[in-house]
Amino acid sequence: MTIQIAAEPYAWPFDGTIVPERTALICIDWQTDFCGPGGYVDAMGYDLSLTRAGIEPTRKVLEVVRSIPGMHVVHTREGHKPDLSDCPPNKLWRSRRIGAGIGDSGPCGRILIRGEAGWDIIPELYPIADEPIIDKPSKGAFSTTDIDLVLRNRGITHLIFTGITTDVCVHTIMREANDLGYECLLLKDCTGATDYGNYKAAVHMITMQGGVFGAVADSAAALEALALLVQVRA
Amino acid sequence: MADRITVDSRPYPWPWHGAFDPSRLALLVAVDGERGLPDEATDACLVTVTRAVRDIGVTIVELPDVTGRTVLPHALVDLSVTRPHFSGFTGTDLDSVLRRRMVTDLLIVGFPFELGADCTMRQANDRGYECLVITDCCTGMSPDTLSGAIASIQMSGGIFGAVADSGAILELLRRRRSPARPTTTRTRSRQ
Repeated sequence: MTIQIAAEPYAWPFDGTIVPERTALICIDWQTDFCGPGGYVDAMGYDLSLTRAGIEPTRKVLEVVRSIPGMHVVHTREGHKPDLSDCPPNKLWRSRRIGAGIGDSGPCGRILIRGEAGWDIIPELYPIADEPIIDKPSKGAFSTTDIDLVLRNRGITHLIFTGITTDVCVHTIMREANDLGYECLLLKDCTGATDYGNYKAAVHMITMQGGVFGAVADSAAALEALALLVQVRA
Repeated sequence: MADRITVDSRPYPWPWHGAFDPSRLALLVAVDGERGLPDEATDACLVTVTRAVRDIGVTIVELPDVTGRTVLPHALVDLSVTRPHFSGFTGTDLDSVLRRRMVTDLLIVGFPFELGADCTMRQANDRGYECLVITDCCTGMSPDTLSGAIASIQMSGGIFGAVADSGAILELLRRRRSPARPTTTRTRSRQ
């Protein structure tokens, strides 16, 4: 039986049925700093409802994925060392210039610093045992972390993306993964950006020219396919 | 030689450190086969800017993909790095090539921008390179995706760097040549 997710511009994955053992749900930067009151995005004055919109759909997908034997979940988390030694000077300068300086004190502790309250993943989507967390000092993950090693160790070749923000960290990581041959799918209602127009453009871009970075689906289509997987594995 | 002058760019004057320095600058031109080749006007704009910055010592790097399709006249290209993937940093020696030349700041254009150029810019930014996209020297896969890509760069104080049009670059070069004259900001926008 071929189980695929109805996606644009092709049924995902390209190579046939979903194999749980080689597939990971990847949850990108679901941190208070990016979607919670008092965090980094809030400090810049952006509308948190945009980055929060994907929380509940993601929670539903995460719950089902966790019930499928063999299927993986990986999380990423952006932040810097307390001494800022891993923060590029231009990144630091830009963040300070707009009043949300990395390492500055805020309502949720120091902005984007490892170990601080605002830096951690929100309770609704918090990792459980056996779900690797990739800590990254960057928007992407493949140049600056051990994410590729972790995925290879587990034989993961297919990635289903949720997370924030669509046009920044999610897009950067999806582009990197695609370049390295991972087969990628973005769940478009499990993500959001600091601007709705930028979110729309980022989603649309993926589907162009035959699917330049992979494919796009909504969580309803994913849940339909995952439900079949649950039945087949029962 | 470093000059304490910056490009009239958005969302901040580029480069961040305040010194436009050709000796630490490279222009990266990413071409993704036939996916987004420039029309005559965009091509002319690109050649004008390339010539102008090359004349003051900026290193010109063309980044074709495996189709080998190029856009710049051969005589204007200092280095060519073929990309097996979209990002100029994946599976290439681009990073060490730039480091050897002590390049830290990058002017970026793409054909189309959203593919190789955007992937390259993101990985460059993650490595601490200071990036500026020259907007009217790029093509897009579509008007809305190009406009979205350019808008995204400017969010959060310039999350990947800054953007400017060719007029702003050429205007900076004029200011550089005639520092005694009062600064007049005349950006010639092609949009």
